[in-house]
Order: sequence, then structure tokens, then C-alpha cells
Amino acid sequence: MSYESKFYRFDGYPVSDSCWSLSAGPDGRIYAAACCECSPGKSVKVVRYNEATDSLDYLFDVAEVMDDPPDSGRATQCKIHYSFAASPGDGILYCASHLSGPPIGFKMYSPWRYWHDAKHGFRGAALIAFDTGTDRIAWTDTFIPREGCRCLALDSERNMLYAISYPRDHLIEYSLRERKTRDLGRLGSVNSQAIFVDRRHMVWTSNDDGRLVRFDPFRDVVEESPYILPHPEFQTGWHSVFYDVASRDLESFFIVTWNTAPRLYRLWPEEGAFGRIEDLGPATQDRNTAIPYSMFVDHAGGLVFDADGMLYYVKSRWKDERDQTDMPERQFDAEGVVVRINPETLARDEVAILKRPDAIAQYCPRAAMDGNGDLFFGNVGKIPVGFFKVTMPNRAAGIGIGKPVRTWG
Amino acid sequence: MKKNRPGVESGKESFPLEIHHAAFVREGIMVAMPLGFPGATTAIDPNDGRITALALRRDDWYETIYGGTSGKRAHVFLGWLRGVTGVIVDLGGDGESTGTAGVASTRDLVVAAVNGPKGGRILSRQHPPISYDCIQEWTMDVHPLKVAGEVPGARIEAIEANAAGTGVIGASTAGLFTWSPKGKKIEPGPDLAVIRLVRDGTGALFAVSDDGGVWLISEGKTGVRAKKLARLSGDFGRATACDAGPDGGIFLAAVDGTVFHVGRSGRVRKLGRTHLKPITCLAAVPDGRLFGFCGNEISNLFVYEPWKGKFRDLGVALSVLNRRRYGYEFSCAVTNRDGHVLFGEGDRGGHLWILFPSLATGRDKWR
Repeated sequence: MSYESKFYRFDGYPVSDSCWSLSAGPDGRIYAAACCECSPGKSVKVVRYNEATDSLDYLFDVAEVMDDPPDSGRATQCKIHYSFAASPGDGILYCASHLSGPPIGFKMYSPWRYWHDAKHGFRGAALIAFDTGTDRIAWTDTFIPREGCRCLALDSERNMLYAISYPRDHLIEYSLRERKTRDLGRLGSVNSQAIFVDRRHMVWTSNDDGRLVRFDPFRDVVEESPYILPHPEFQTGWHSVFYDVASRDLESFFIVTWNTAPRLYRLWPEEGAFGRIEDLGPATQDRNTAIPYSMFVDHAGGLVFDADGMLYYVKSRWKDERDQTDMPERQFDAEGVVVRINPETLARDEVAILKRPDAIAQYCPRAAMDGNGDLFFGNVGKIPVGFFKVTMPNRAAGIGIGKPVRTWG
Repeated sequence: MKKNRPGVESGKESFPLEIHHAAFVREGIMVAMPLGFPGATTAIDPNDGRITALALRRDDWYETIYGGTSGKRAHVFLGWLRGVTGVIVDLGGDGESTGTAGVASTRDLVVAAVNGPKGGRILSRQHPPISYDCIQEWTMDVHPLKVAGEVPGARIEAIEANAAGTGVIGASTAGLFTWSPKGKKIEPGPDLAVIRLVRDGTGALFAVSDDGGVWLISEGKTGVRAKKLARLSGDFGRATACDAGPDGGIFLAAVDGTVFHVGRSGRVRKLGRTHLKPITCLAAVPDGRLFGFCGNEISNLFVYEPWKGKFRDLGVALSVLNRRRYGYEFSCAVTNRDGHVLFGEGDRGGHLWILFPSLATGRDKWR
């Protein structure tokens, strides 16, 4: 346990209840989403870490940019959920918004219930092209009408964005040239939480059954793998969808699943008829498999490579399994442990614990490395949330740029 | 807001999560079955899995469900739910056609009407015998369907088994036709632009055209004849129709969600309108209730209760028993003899859905 971490709370937006998206922009700086998924009539703000002042800059509010006021009575532009995608060629950071924030005066929002409700229903996921060179919004569009965007990926060579919609779980393609959305069809019911594009322009995600899903843009076909992804023996593979994905070379991808008892594995997409999978085992601790654990407790995420090519992720570690149901206060006994994996030997060691001064911090959805090689980890927990900076021993100006730029959220 | 939607407005719900949970099926239970043998086979490829046709074969104590899919390739499937079964078996297709317009069960054969680049085709094969124990040890007859007739250059819209059970009556863009396994020939009938064929509980066969025309079809030795019963007002587009149970007549839905009952005499009754449009499928159950789905993209299950004369929204389809799935798009429905409704999901990776209607809101209340 040698690395120091520092927490940056979203005090400039104190109602923020979740930081789902955190990514390195094409400029090597860290961008995060200060989301508001529980408070009625609120919206998401995009935040950037300012290295010079060691503080946060609040860049823009998605509701304002999209002229979709949070007090309109509709479901709000409340969050950006794994939907930052950096475009290294032109300095654009794409941001796509998601739903679930209740309309003003409501306690909760259900997209199923209000799907046909013209007054309260969500207007649609917004797509914002933010120019990190000029700090201006280059352009915007309505990305997915009436639905939220769960996750986003960019194919910069083909000028395409790919996304998964919520709640209908459709695979979405967006042509940046034509500014046009194409619906590629339904995948299932459980949203995969990540989508990425490999070197051959194949688009990868997963479905409810724990199968890989691949879109081949040249044959224009969506295909499911004949096999089920690695999962614990006491489960069936159901809900073993992608949670987070990281790669250092785009040849292989490290993946953690979105399920209790999350699993780590590595996908080699260019091998075999439908990729090759290497099971790396459980991502969190052993526990009583007869208890339906909260997904907020038994969780792993925040996959990121450092400048030396070592992989990191954050696992939740809890002490008393009977305390894990205390969701409203989020005061159960747990901590977020930063684990380092050597991709060559697959050896793991624990290098840091993410400590908030005001609460536990076991839940990390996303992580990124900035241009100096420091690591940043998003946090979902006590309000207001924020993110952590872990200062790396090998940090140096420019060391983290282009290794490679992650083009998915 | 509809008054029958509990907890919609802020502060009135008994607990906030009611907003979420009460969005889904609020009466009865729905179960989704994947198009395969759970635990033993893969399901039909999701790209081919939009269910667009359903029919039943009733044989003594058990029923066989026949279905057809649309997508990159059309498949015909069978489903068994009685006995030690609980399986759906892919019977394949012709490898070229992309859509199934209808399936029918004759005395000896399952017959499917499929469409593809070369026009409409009739596929058929013998009824597969019910499998031995699908828990312990099973046997399956998976002989493929064969092309048994063609309607070159035309699209088949619907088929129904003829009254004698020896062949089918069909409707295509070239008019009505008949087909029987003897000679495997398509015989042309009256030149009517029919899009639905429905046999009611009394055995009468109705034809529906896209301009609201309803015809009674008679099947004699000299061929098929059509007698016009009614012309309903409204836009009927790809009209949805279903049988009206043992009392006879058919239910017919217009594009705007208005539902009519048309009797064998030609008498037309307007039942009312659903809260969303369009209606994509309808099925009547023995106590007189009518179930169906309405609305695009995320459709809602609805019920019509004749004793109240009203339609009610029952929420979004949901399966949480064994298969966990939301149901969004449905394109066809049939009712089995127990009054359970089988819905064909017309979505990518479609499932066969079974609705077990609430008994508490059924006919006893009417009496």
C-alpha cells in the first residue's frame, strides 16, 4: 500500500450523486460527469481536473447546452453514463447523456411507465461534441430519441459512434459524417455497460446470457458468440455483461463483468472465429453465495493502464456480509482497494485504498490516466460525490499521452 | 394520466419504487420462453427471431404450438408445453425466405406460408410426434420442411387450415388461393386483397381486407367463395384480427386502436379504443375477455372486459420466472384451450410469451 490518493469532491455542484463517467480527453486532461440521477429536476455537469490549481473546473451543463431545461416537467438530462469518447484526431470529446433523473416534483422516473407520456417522458439522449482545444461546444444532436445512452464508443477511422440504448437495449450506430442514427436492433434486457471497437473495426459488447455480441460493419450483421463468458460456478452466466474494459494495445482487452461476484477476463478479439477468452478469475473476495448481494457492495470497476503498461482496477472489500443491505445511508463497512495486475504474469497486488474524508468509497465505475501518468478513479457514494487522484511514482509530463487514447466510455 | 395507473403522480404512490414496478404487468403472470430447448440447445438466431405467426394443433390431451419467424431467414418452429416437455424446436425453413406470413395445422401436416425474394412459398411436413420425456431422455424428429407450392412474384399474407383439415386456404397479393398436399398445387380463388384470415369458434372463416372489408369465406367442392359481410370505417392498414371464441365472430382492430366485433351475420359492434395505438395483436379468452398489445416501441398489454365494456392498460410485458426479459414488441397471439394467451414477440431475439390471465378479474365478477 504505497500510493497516495486524494479525493476531489464536486462541491461546486453539491447535489451531484454519482460520477459514472470519467475519462481522459484527447488533450490528456481528466473529464468527469457530475451526475444527478436521484434528485428531481436536476441535470449533469461536465467537470475537468485543473492541474495548475489542483481543483475542478465546471465546464458546461448538458441541459443548458441542449436547451432541455431540468424543470420542464420531463425526465432530465441527468447523467453521462460511460459515454465519454475521446477523438484523438480532432481534439473532440464526445459526450452522450443518459436518463433516470426524475422530472421536477417526482420521486422517481420509470422510462417504461412514461414511454408514451409526451409531458413527462425523456426527450432523448443528447450527443455533444466538446472541442477540448477551444473549450467550446462544436455541435450537438439528439442521439437516441426517447432513450438514454448507456455506453459509447468511437470508431475514429470510420467516423462512427456506437452505443447501447436504455431501456430498450438496442445497439445504435451514429454516422458522424451524416449526423444520423441507425438502430441495429435489440440485444436483450440487461444493458451491457461497455462497448468498444477493435483494430479491425469490429464493435464488441455482450448480452444478458453472458455471450459476446459483435457487430461487423462490413457485413452489416450483429452476431452473438456461441459460448458463454466466464462466470462463477454458482451462477449461469446470466447478467455477466461487460462492466468495464481497458486495453493498452487494442490487441487484447481486459474486461470485468457487471454482476455480483464479478469476473475478470481477457478477450483476444482477433483470434478464433469469435475471439479467444482467457479467464482471470474472481475480481472480488470469496463470500457466502447464498446471499443475494447488493450490486453496490460486491463490485469491481475502474480498469485503467498506467504509463508502464500495468493494469489497475478497484475492487470493493467489505468486512461484514450482514451489513451489506444498508443502502440508504451507504454506511456499511467497506473500502475501495486499488489492485495492480501485471499483464504478463497476471500477478496481482494491492497498491492503494481510496479514502474519502467523509465516507467510504468502495464503488468505482471508471478510471483514467492523465497526460502526466497519474491515475483518476470516479466515485459513486455519499453526496456530493467526486473522484480520486492517485499520484504515480513514475509520473512525468506527457508520459500518459497516447498510450493509447481510450475511445470508449 | 390514466386513473388506473397507480402512483403515477408524485406524492401519491405508496412508495417511490411503485412507479417502477407498477409499470409492468399488473394482472396475471407472463412468462417468456426462448426459441429453443432451455439448457439443451441454442435458441433460433436472434437475427431470425421475430415471431410473426402462431397457430395451434389440438390433439386429444396435448397441444402443439406452431410458429413462424421473420428476419434474415424465416424459421418454422413448434412448441410443446404439456407433458414432460417445455421445449421449442426449430423446424428450419427453406433457407431463402425472410418472412413467415402464417402457419397452419392440417390433419396430417404443419403448413407454413413464407415470403422471400422469389415470392411466396408453401412449406410443409408431417406433424412431428411428441417427444419422449424432456427431463429424462428425449427423442426429436427434426426432418426439414419441404417446399410444397409457390406463388411466384406475389406475397402471401395469411393462411388458415381448410374446414376439412386436408389443406389450407391462403391470401396473397394475387388473391385468395387453396393448397392441398395432393398435387402440391396452388389453385387460385377470388381476386380479393385480403390480409387476414381468421376462423372463429364456430368454424366460420372470415377474411379481412386492408380497407376494412370483412368477408365470409365458404369452402365448397367447387372452390372458395367470398361473401361480403361488412365494410368498417377507418384506416385498417395491416389490420389485426382474432377469433371471438365459442360465441363466434371476429374482433378487428383499426390503426387508431378502435376495436370492432363483426358477427357471422355481418353485425358490427364498436367496442371502444385502446389507450395507445396501433394494436399489434389480439386474442380472446373463453370468458369473453380480450387481451392484446398496443403502442409502438414499448407496447402495453391491455384487456377488454365485456362486462364493463371498457379497455384497461395492464402495463409493459415482463417475464421474471426463469427467463428474465422485458417484452416490447408483439405481433401475433393465439389462445390455448385453458385460456392462456400465447404471444409472439416480434422483436430481435423474440420469445414465445405466455400470459396466465388473472382469475380474480375474470368472468365470476361478471356473474
